[in-house]
Amino acid sequence: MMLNTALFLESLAYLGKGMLGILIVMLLLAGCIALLNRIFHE
Amino acid sequence: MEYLYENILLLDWKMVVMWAIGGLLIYLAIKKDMEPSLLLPMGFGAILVNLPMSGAVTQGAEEGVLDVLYNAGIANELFPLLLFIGIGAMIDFGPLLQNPKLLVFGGAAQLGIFLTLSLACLFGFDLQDAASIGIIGAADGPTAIFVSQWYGSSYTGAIMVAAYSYMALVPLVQPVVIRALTTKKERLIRMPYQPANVSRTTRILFPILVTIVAGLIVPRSVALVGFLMFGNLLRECGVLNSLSETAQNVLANLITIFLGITIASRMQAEQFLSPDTLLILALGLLAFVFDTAGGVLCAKIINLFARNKVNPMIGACGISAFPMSSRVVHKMGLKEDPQNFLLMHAAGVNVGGQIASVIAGGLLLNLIAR
Repeated sequence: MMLNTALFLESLAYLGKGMLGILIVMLLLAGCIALLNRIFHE
Repeated sequence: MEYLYENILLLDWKMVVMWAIGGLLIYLAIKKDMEPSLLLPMGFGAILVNLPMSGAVTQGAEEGVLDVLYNAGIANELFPLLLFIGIGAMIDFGPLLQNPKLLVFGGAAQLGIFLTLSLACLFGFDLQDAASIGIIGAADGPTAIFVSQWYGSSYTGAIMVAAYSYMALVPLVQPVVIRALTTKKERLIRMPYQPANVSRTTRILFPILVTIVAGLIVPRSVALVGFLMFGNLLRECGVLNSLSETAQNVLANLITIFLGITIASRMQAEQFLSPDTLLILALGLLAFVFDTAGGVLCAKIINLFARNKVNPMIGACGISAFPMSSRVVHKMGLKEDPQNFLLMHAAGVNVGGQIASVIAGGLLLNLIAR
């Protein structure tokens, strides 16, 4: 089996972008929910 | 008499191997209770499509019923989206809404998707197939189908077998990884649960908010997130109980029946029996391991700075695989300390993981062109 190191190295950029992106979206959502809870608490 | 045995002569050993694989899936579904709603139809379907000149799949000009179903519901990503309405209606996001910080673990536990994508590239898959394999790490069948179909991957059958099998194996896979990455002291960390009321307005606004935020940042996730959140809105609005129940039961069950057996149309021997399938199964297992590790390590990093320590085991629930993962962690917590009740925290992370996995799927579609 041939290992494709060039594509592997290229794909590491997606690893970085993907994890950064998902963590930012999650933090944003967490902030929005906290805001909702503060505004509409019972 | 030739007409009685001429078809039997077309049988080859690969078809028999696929019958054995189908039989194994049926066995695991019935005897081991492993994701029976999907593995049983897939197992039966694997036998159905691997009979010589099977009329269930297209033979020359004669279109087979499974291919008709495939084109009608999977090739255009319709079935996974409809199933998401049912899943959204089933999920109570309450534990997450009480403690929204738990969403971070859901994000961290998507590490397996992107790390497996890189590994698949290393092993020679092209970027689109690698993304389709990486999405096994979403631990979420409909998302995996949606993404692999988007990229037109020829490995959909193997990807689905891996995704659903490992979801069923979460109780075996996760404890090993969690124990390897945590100390006894960490597993004993208690997390007191303070129930907080979440207002009905918040519950109703939540699915709308998630759809808008995810849609603005990750537009390709809108179909996935939107259908999931539409189902949840049906549940939470309080005026559509009968629709919510239909989505949770009738709709979800109907789609599940068709989904499993239709996926099997991509389990024909010529496509399925290849070294690539074994590689995909191995990469799928690694995806689940990396997911679990990502969530646990995120919790450990947070503990370096946080005043109120988090039991790192709950990070593992960000894998999605709802509700199995939270049950596994809850049981592990009780085993270490019979007074340590982690269920609500674990459930919060788990439903957060469900949202994160869907958004991560959309993120993949945004990052990698088809």
